[in-house]
Amino acid sequence: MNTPTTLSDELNRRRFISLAAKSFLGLSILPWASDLNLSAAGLGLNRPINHAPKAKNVIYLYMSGGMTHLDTFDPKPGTETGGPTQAIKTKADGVQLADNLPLLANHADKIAVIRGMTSTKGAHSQGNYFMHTSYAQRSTIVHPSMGAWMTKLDGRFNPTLPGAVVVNGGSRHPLSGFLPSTHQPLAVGNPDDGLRNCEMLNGFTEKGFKKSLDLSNQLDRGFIEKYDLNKVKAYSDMYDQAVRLMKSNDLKAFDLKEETQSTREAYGDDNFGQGVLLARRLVERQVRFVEVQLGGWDTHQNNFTRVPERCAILDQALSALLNDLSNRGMLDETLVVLASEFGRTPTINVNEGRDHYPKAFSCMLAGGGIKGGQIWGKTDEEGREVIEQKVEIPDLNATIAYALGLPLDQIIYSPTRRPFTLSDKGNPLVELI
Amino acid sequence: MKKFFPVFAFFSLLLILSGKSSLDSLTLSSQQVGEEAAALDRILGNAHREHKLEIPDDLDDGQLVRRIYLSIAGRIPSYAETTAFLKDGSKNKKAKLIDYLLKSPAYDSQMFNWWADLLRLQTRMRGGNQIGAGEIYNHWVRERINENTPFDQVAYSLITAEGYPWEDGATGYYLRDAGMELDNMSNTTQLFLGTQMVCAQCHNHPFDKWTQQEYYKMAAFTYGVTTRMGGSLQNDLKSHFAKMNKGLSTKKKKQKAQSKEGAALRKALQEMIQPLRYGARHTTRPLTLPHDYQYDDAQPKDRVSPAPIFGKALEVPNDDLKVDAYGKWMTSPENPRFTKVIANRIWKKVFGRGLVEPVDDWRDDTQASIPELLDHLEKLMVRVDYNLKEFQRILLNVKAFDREAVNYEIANDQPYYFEGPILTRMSAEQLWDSFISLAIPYPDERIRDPKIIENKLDQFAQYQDKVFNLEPKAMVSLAGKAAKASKGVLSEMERIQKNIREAQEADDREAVARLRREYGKARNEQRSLFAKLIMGDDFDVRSLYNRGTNGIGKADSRWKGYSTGLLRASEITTPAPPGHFLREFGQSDREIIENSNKQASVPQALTLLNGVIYGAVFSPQSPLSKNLAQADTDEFKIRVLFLSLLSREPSKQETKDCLNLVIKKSTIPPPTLKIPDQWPNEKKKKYRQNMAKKLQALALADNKRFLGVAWALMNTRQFSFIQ
Repeated sequence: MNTPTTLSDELNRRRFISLAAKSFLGLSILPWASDLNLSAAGLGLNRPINHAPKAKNVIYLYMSGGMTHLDTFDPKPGTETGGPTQAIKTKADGVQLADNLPLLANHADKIAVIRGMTSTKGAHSQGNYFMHTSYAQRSTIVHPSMGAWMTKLDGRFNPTLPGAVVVNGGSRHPLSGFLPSTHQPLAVGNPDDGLRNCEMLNGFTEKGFKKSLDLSNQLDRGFIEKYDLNKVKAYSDMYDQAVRLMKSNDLKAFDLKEETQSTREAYGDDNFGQGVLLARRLVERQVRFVEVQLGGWDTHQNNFTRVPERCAILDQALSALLNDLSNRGMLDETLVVLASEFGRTPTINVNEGRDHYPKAFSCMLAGGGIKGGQIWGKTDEEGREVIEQKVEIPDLNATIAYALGLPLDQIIYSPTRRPFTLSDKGNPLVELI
Repeated sequence: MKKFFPVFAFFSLLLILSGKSSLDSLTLSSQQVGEEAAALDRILGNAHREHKLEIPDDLDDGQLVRRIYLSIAGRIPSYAETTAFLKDGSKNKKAKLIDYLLKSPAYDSQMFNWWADLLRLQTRMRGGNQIGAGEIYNHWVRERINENTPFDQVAYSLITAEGYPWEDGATGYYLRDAGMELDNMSNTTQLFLGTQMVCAQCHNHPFDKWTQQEYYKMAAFTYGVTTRMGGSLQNDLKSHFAKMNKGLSTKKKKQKAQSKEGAALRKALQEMIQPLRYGARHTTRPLTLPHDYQYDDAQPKDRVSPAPIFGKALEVPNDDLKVDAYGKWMTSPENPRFTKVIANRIWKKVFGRGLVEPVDDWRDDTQASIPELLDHLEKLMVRVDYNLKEFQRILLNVKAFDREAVNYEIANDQPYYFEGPILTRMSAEQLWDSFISLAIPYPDERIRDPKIIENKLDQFAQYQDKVFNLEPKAMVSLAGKAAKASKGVLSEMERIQKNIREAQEADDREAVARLRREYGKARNEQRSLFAKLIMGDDFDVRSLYNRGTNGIGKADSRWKGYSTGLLRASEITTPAPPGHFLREFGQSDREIIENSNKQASVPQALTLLNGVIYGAVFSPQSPLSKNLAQADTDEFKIRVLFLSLLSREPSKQETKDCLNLVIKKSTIPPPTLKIPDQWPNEKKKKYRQNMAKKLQALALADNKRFLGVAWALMNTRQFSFIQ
């Protein structure tokens, strides 16, 4: 039986093997440092590597549509741009949040708020793409998203489950971009539905399934001997993995019914809350990167009634997650990120709404070795300009990578032989860790 | 003993004789094709001798017919098609089959996928999505394929496309990259010249010779193309308003513009112009170097004059003719890369690998693995006038095509000499289309009805004609009427939108879906109100906006009772939605050129093990089930399965292994009752019919015993790889 202890023991063993393999193979040395092509391509920044990373896995909460900074993580009470949103004190000294996030306030000692985010991409598609990939959207290439970079550069820890999962990511998610499809994050629509095609066809018994599969292998033996090629073997491997997955206890990670009713309610009885709960179940089994999206932040109208509704969902799920991770002793190894494509205009428009505003906005980090209870960056009194510690989007992604100990300068070539790194030229905010 | 169903054999013979195609699209004689193929055989033979290569065995007929169908028809052959070929004793049966298939609609379907990957065709296209421009562009490509328009002409039409999409469907080439003129140029060189310039967009190319200056000079040819249309309409209206407002104080003007009526009028006018805003127009807009240009050969923000990256310098008499000159230069047989690149691409299409790899990153020092062959193919492409059908026809008749795929690993940078084709996994489209052919009858004929889109183009043209002939004054007056008349429906739309937001927040998906439909209805009502004011009551306004039906309904009795989702890849949305079988197996997202892949993944294995596709393949009315039910012994049923799925006979041992899995049938014969003579004829007939039905149902139910074997075959590598 899988008690929590034996499960994590088993996974630690897998992680050990994976890390050991890497050091035996010398993959953590820097073979690219002397590559002459680097300067030609404008890379080779020699950015720091975190050699004692605490974070192993990531839960990435994406606020789709552009989350208003002024009514969440960067409130400006008493100013015209602040609107009716008030600020509240939190568990951490000197950290104030908007009154829309009362539950999170109790966990402020665990979070680092980045108020100095700035970008130039003011349209959804471009902004979303930039945040996910650190590169501008082009029509000649699709860049990988962070989850795919992570399994590419650092491997998978769980041999049966996918390395990265995206819940509610929509159809435009860059996923694995130009990287091989083995790094493709698994897209899940509804967290309650579980994983597709894991159940046997109607009419198959377990015995019948095995017998038919044996027959299939037997009929194929001649072909497989004759064509002893990697691309054929890759399929045989995938079949083995698929059958293992069908029988795997880890598959239960996708079954939210295994959680108690009270836990499910704690995360919130909505798609996002249940998605965040699923994320916790997945990182518990060492899935490396789980993204959960919450939409509805594009508040051009009625910002001050719609944002509190969005925040209620976010506040509940995020607080439950931080609480849960810390109770289970997982907070240190799980980096929680909250991001969005841009903020919203400080000036309130005629429809009581706020429009797109990439110039200044907020993101949040927690767990994974991040020092809690701190604020990074500052906007002016009206929330219009970043006046201290500007953070560009690639810098945020470099910080995530740094927390995980991923090599920022490792160049991966696209099939068209163009060089890329996981956060482009971003510099990590090492002070946060 | 070999057995064939007479009915099916006859049917397939008919199919082959009837030819299906109204105009014979093949121009070369069989003898010419044979001679051209023999010339290629000689060059290949020399190369094989020179490199002392071991030549693989010839494929047996079963594997050969499978390879031919997959290559030309894009799917595996059916049971009837395979057995007809095996039984055919004539000497030229391969050449005959190739010719037949090249003329079939299956070839057009297969070619659409190829084009869609190259041109990044998307049903919901970046530019002009509001008027369904993606569908129009796709339709234009379909027409080029149906008419087998020579490749150089297609390329020239794309580069010089101009006008509204209904005037020139090729404008999709520019709408596809709307607002990204520089990227569009990189795509052009990658596509037609096999040349990667994209790095040089921001700095001199680090691995190739291109400078940023050269990039900009090349881009200057088409930088003036804009996808925004209808500017003259807007200008006419502007000057009309200026005239009307003459004499008013600034304050008054502002008041008038900001009034509710003013806003409603503007909105109405925009609504009227909306369908006429997307297309391609060639302007003289100049291109300048970027503000951070860092090289010594020019200054930042210098104006760039057009110049081609290689070949002869181009005389460009004036700005108006530069795109035309560019198109001619690009597609000329004298262009040093254009012909080689397409010849190499088609070679790869047939043999699984290019003589030059990668096919779209040619350099000055690029060497083909068999240089003589590439030179020959280049000349051949010119000789057949860029007729891709004839070019493929010749390649398919090359002897190396008939051989077994080679069984050693070939590294990407290792030269390959084509002693046989490369072993490849079926593409996503080949795999899906093969399953479709097992699940529905006449799979190649279940296609979009071109009349629907043609009607749409016609309606657009009428609308354009009318609106451009309206005086501004008349237009404003119509817009005023429209604004007034649409007040009610507009507030209804606002109400629904509010409800949608609420439902979204409450996560009530059912309500959201229902409200979206309601909104669509209201929007249509509003649009038809506008269009009818302009065009009169008979005008079919929905065709202007609706992506509409593809005309593949349940009306055709041949597919009565078959799900409308069971269509070949070319007939569904391009690309298929995420999560679709096609995407799971690596169909290109059609975001970038040739972005499909054949890499293995766990979800693929899960799909082949447990996927919903089996519901259709094993349904009692699928061709596979029907063929299986007709076979009368267990051995014969195994044989039907092997021929249907792997296009070959099972060996004795294989039959035995399969039968081991099959539960024995009960030996009690089905009941037969003697029909009493005194029954009236009507009753006898009914009784017989009933009995026949029951027996058929029994036979179909009996199929269940064989599903395990069928499933086992579809889960072999032999099934998904092309040998």
